[in-house]
Amino acid sequence: MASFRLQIVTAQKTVFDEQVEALTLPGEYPTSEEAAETSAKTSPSYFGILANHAPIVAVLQAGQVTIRRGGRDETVKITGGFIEMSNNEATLLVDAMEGLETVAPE
Amino acid sequence: MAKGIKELRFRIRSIRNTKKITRAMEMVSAAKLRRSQTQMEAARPFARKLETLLGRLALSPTAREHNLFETRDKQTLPTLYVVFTSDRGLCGAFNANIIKAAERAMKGENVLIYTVGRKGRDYFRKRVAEKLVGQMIDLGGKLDGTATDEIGNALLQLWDDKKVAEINIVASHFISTASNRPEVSRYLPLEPEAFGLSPEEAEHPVDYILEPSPDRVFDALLPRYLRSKIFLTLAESFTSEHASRMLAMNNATSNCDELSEKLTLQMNKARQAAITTEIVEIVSGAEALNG
Repeated sequence: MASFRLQIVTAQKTVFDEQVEALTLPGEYPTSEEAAETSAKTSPSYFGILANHAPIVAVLQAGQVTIRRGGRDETVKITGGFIEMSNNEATLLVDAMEGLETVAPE
Repeated sequence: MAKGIKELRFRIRSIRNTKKITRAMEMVSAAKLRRSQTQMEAARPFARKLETLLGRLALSPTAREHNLFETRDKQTLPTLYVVFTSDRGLCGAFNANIIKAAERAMKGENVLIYTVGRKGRDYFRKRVAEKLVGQMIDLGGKLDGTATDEIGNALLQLWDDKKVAEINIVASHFISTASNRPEVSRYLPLEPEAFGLSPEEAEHPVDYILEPSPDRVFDALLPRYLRSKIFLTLAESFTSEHASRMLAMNNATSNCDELSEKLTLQMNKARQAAITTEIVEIVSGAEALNG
């Protein structure tokens, strides 16, 4: 499976820099002005990114990021941030995160 | 004569004690320097990523409409200077240099001042208390996210309330352990040209998909960029402070060595002079008896 480089960077340091195959991210719903206040409380709209994705910048809200690496899924909790991807390199800029625990494949 | 020797001995002892203190402080600063330098270097990737990203995005018309890019009239509104000094002294000319640079930059302008660090606050409060709009003290040379957020939010608030026309930062730029110099840099308004985009990139901009909307992306991106800039400035200021203190204490320690050597020599001479006088007295007394 095609892979791409993922870097996870927090304000304090770079925590992850490896080749991965897929990413699932907690995105934000596009909301109208009056719904904006409640939007923070709604559950995130998860979306995926695969290798060679078109250049994208997306705002992320609190939720889980799933990283597929070597057929294994790992999940990380983040409090918010955003993803940038261009030239098959993704950068996940997060405010705060927790855990890089490995989830065993089925 | 004997009294002189006693005094000298006392001074030598006190200088040796001072030397122990300055040497301990030097070692403490060296340890702190190493830690804050590591932190500073670890914090750079985040700031740099944000900067390149913003550089690419700032060319879009939506970005230019954002209020953080707004240019304001410097005639009607004051300019805010954020001055980063240390909380404690004994770090050579570190604070004096920053304050001097700040005052030079402020000269003849209508200014407001926000101080980070006790030294700067004390200085400006004594002279231009009415211009101080905020302060952050007792960070203790430690970096933490909450203090950064607090400073960042306070500055953004002043900006959003349209209280200032410009925000500039005066802080120490860390060059190496042996040298740092105060630098004045623009904080707000943001200048799209300042993000250091390479010419090739400017010609072939990356056409990003912005999710969920361009507005949201900028609302999320810009405050984070500004906070990370504060974080980095603070990290650099702390690193410079520790480096300056280490150097100052190193100098103090070698001054102690020099001084105690000089005084020891002086004391030995005085003691020898006393002994010689005594011998001469005894000898001449004995000769008088024999004579």
